[in-house]
Amino acid sequence: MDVEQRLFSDLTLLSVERPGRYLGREWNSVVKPDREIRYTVALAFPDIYEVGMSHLGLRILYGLLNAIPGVQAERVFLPWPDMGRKLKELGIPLFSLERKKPVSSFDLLGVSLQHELSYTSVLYLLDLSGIPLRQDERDERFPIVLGGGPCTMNPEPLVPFFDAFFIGEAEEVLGDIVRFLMEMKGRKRETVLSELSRFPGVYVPSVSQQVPIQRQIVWDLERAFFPRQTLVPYVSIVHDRVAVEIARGCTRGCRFCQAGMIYRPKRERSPEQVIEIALKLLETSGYEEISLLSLSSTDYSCIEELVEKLSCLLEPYRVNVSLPSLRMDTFSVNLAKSLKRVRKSTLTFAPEAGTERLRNVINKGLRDEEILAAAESAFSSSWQEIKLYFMIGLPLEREEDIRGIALTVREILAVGKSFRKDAKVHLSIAAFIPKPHTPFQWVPQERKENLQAKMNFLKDLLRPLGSSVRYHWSSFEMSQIEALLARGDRKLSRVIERVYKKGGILENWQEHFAFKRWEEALGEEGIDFASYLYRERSFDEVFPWEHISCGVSKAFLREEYERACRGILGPPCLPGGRCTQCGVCKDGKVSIPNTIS
Amino acid sequence: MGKFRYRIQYRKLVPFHLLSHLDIYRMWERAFRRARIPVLYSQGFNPRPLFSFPFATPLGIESKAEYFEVFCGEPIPPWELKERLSSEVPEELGIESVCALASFDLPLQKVIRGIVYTFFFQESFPLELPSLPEGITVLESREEIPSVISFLFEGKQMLWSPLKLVSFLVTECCWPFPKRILKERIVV
Ligand code: SF4
Repeated sequence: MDVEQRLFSDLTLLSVERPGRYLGREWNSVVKPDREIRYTVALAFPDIYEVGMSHLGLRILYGLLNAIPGVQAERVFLPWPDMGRKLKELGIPLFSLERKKPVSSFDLLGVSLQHELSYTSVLYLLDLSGIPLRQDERDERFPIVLGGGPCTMNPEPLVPFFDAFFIGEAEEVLGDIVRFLMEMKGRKRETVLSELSRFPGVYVPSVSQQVPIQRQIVWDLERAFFPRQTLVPYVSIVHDRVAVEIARGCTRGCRFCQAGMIYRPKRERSPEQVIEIALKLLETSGYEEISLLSLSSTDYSCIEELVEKLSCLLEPYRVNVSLPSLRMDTFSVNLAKSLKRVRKSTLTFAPEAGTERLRNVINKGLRDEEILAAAESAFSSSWQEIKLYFMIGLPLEREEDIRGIALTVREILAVGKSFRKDAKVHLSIAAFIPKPHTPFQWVPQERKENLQAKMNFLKDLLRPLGSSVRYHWSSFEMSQIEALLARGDRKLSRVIERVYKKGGILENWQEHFAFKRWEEALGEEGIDFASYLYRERSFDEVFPWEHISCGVSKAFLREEYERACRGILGPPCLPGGRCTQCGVCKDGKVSIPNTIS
Repeated sequence: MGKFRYRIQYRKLVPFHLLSHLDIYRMWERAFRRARIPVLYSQGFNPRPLFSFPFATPLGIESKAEYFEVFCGEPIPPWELKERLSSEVPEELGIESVCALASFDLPLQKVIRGIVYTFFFQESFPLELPSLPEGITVLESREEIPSVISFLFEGKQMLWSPLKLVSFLVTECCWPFPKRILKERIVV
């Protein structure tokens, strides 16, 4: 009996939570007839359906690969533990959503690496699929396991588990790689891997290669593949809306932000194309909301015109437009007005630090007046609550900076209350984590006891504001492990394996995370946690990730770090103007359309 | 703007029995939008389409008799509504019938008298039929319990989930858990 029969034809799955997430069959899912399929790709996201389906990159690759004749790409997500147990109990290996085929039967298994805390989940994925965890234990019977996504900027802790990594943006190269693998199908694994290592941006640890491996960059976003059709899930997912990427990269260069470095340079899609894509996706999906994605929406050249035009076009269909992240220095009343035409989505701002001084250290460069002006635009346009992101544990942070967070919130509330009595702020506090390929890659991570103390101090300061402020903070234990793995080396792979064997799965979910497992595993491997986390790196230290290049030079990062210590702002990323500041652009070949008709 | 009312009967067959009521609601909202059928929306901060589902069939239950009513902003012949919507949903969730309602037509909740559910067991088993909760009767009772048996839920019991009857039968009467449950039809 096949999986369809065993699990989806009766009441068997009544005992698991939300069985709809294992069903597949969504509108716009792709199943080709068997006779047309020559090569199969499993696109795996090491988290549950609701999270994985919210990731735009996966949807882009799904469209990209399924557009290749002969290729069938299918999605794979992790089961929630109850379903994981059920599968084990019934002896059913992990299967894809489209054709319910065992993951181990695919030719290629692509794994999206978005977050360090998903590393143990990668092992869970392999294990549930019946694929040996270690690369050197796998032969031709198993798929080639290829990692991709931002975590490949330092793949070292994962090296023993993967055959290869793809570094950077996939739109231009991945299609060729898969077509090539299709031709190589049936050849010996070593041969395939060594051929694969000749592609740009591909890191194959078992083959000796010329280093550094260069991150692949799509120079012209306008010509990059973007799907015109998107999957419409039945169960509600985290980001349940159409997403159109309007820009990639960010001009700001905040020093803590890895995305701001590893997605350079900033590129834009023209407003005409954004609108064309948006309308097609909405027509073919029937979604009620569309989100315009970029690292910093308000930095898009003509964001106000774009949002206004799109909102007007979509209002009759009751489709609303939302923006994920807004810069406070460029947020305006006009934008606020366009955003609430149909229904109001949450407004989110990220001042990140509590004082101008610290915001200069991290290169956020946001003035107090700008923060208050943005708050005024939001509350005066009848928003009742705004959401704010702050970090604690930043380098060079002082007590006044923590006070500054509370002060900023108080002032924002005062502005809000002048428009409506019930004005509220939703505050989200995260611990700063030093990431590779950023100007702060040299700095130590704050100890969790200190983070806790700072958080308690902040809570005391917020108390007088009462119920006008809702706040939550990330788990500091989780951020310690994220920090450990982010700047980790190959030795940590053994720790990851031990943590998995102790039951560590879905660890980016607080309810599944256990610090104790990591402490034990590190102890068993005799690895000193503190030397990864709390050590200030010297400038001549060679990092474990230096064979991977995101294009930004180490010299630029160091200059930026030195500027941070002096509290001065760095140069903005301004592509097109023959800027060669950071090293990414060689000849200014970046297109930035900036008109709207 | 005019207000045109329709009653839609659709199926919810395997494997879509694993979707919740809310999932189905969202699916219809999006299917209407794909089909470009102008549904009327509620007023207020968070406008929702004017759908009304008389009963929420619980997750796990297959059905040939799902219903909802919808208000549209334009008159559309029922056959056309059926055709346009049918091409926007999977076969197993397909439409059985569409009928246009007049404003004085009572909503389904007011005219329905009973619901028939069929239970499918692995095999027939030698047990006597217990005395069932009031409002629930067996259609075609026989000597032993066959592998397929239908129950009629009437009165207040129409609001019962068939799974509630299952748990009654399993705990009070030692019946096995059915393999499948199908909402067969409604009685008006
Ligand atoms: S070289 Fe200049 S424009 Fe190009 S990514 Fe770096 S900072 Fe941006």
